[in-house]
Amino acid sequence: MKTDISKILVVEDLVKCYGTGENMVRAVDHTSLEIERGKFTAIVGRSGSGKSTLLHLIGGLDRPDAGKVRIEGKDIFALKDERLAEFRRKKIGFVFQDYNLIPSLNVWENIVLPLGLDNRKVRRQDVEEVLVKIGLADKAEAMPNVLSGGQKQRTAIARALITRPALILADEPTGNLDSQTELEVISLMKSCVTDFGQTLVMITHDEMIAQMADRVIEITDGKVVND
Amino acid sequence: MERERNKKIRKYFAGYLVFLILFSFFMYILAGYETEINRQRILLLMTEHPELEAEIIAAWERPGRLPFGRNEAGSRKELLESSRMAELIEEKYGYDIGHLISERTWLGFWGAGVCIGTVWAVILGCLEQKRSAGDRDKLRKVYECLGQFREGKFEGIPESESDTEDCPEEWMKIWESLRELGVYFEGLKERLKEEENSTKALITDISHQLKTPLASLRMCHELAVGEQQTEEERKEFREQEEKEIEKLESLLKELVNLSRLETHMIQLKPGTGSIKKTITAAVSQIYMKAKEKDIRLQADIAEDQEICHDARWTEEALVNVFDNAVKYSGEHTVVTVRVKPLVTYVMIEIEDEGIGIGKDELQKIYQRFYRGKDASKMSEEGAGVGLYLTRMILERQGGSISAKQKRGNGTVFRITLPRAQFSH
Repeated sequence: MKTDISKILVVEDLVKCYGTGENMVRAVDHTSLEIERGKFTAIVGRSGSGKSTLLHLIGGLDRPDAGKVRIEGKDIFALKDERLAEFRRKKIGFVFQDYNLIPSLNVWENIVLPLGLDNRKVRRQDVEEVLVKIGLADKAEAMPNVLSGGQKQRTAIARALITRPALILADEPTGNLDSQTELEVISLMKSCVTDFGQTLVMITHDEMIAQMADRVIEITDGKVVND
Repeated sequence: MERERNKKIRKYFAGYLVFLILFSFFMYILAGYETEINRQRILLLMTEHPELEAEIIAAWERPGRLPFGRNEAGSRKELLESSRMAELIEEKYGYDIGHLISERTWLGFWGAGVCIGTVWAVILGCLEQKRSAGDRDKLRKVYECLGQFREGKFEGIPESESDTEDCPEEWMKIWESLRELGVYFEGLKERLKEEENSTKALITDISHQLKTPLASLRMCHELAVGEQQTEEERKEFREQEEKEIEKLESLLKELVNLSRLETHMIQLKPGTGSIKKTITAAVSQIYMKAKEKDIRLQADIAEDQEICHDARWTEEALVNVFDNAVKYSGEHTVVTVRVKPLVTYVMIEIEDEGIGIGKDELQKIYQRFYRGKDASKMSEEGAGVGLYLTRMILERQGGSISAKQKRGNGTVFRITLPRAQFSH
């Protein structure tokens, strides 16, 4: 199959509905978009506009009712669940608003977790480099419950970066952080993505964040209204 | 292909023949050795028991058959007898006569060995054939892929997963590397194209930017040298001309900086230095302008930070922001700069009480040659290069810039710069 390599992500006519009959809500309504490799794209929209659903579909966390998502040319929903999970771990890094750290594991263990899931070798040097870069070099042994919000999110970012995925998806990563920490976290994500040549797609409602993106896509009622 | 295959088959056949000969030779030697030993034993037996010579010789001469047997019909009985005889001899002399009969079985051994060898060779041959066919297939694909690369097409890398479902890891790695190579080349190609396009756009934009001030300069000049004007008017136009030249000069300076940075003729060279020093240098550049409008410059720098940045260009970037703050603020206002250390970044906040930036314009202010609607009304000066340059300088150092409309009047610019640079 031939693929256009410059487009890391292609969404084709994606549909996802919730509920039935009268109560049916089209969270994603025939959305199509293309995202270029190496760019920082912000997806903005009011809450309930379907942007989170869209991001979940892009990341293969949920299956759509219709339409396709291609990541590096691969139709991810053609994969069986197991293969999809494997593909997701290899190609996509996730950063969520509520961090999703494992409370019983320390910072280091949380970061190397995705490597362990695929039986990949943990290179000490790589982990240390990421830790220094995100400013958590002295917190490697700390448990998540003693970390501040910013530190937790930085751990989550490191976890998303450690597998060097081609695509990083972030759903309101700074929703729970104060504005200065927010600035720090976004700057960090942006520069990491630039350094490692990754592609970042971030959902946000913050104008200042959107300004830092290379491209802003606005979603209203499950549709792309502004690009 | 076909010739190569024949060659391989021939090689296989030759190998098999060698095996056959070696095996036969080995068997022959072994059989000969065994016979020799048996002969020696019989001789020994005969010297020890000369009274049994006749029986022993009979047994020797007709191994496998009954020494005394005559016809086929009685063979079963004779066989029994013979084995009894053998047992007898064994019992009597402690010697196993079975060995004497064993000569015949060598042939069987040899046959079995050859058979097994044949089967083994065929199986191995088939397996090899199949594997090499698969490998050849994959190699051909790799070759096709490389051919495409040579032609400048980098998109046609086969799907790694579907093509290599049950493929050894080495092949997977080759596919992955090919894919990465394709992505890399495609990226290079894209960047080249982008660079070319942006250079074209830059040239167009710059010539466009230069046209207007040049036209007004020409107009002033023509009026100044005109004959109808009075001496006083001429003097006025000369002054105007002077101003236009100054404007053109500053525009030119901006454009030169822009084009040099844009085309990577200037590389930023970050080095460790005091951010306070850089900010002070930037502020001193706009100090006079601020004083003219009675704008108070206020600094709130808790502690100086030694960060890794290119001092000269970061200063340039900051000057653009300060310059905007002063240019688009009314008289008797305050421009404040704050420096706050974050964990891995330093945040520089520049706040003014000026006209502010509309919400719909916040996204556009970093575009090259974009000028805000209110800004154009307020000041003729400026080509819409400043913030574009600022953003480029900051981002190349791993930093960022974003603006926010303040409650009431004014704008807050937030700049981040990493404390330490990482090289990858």
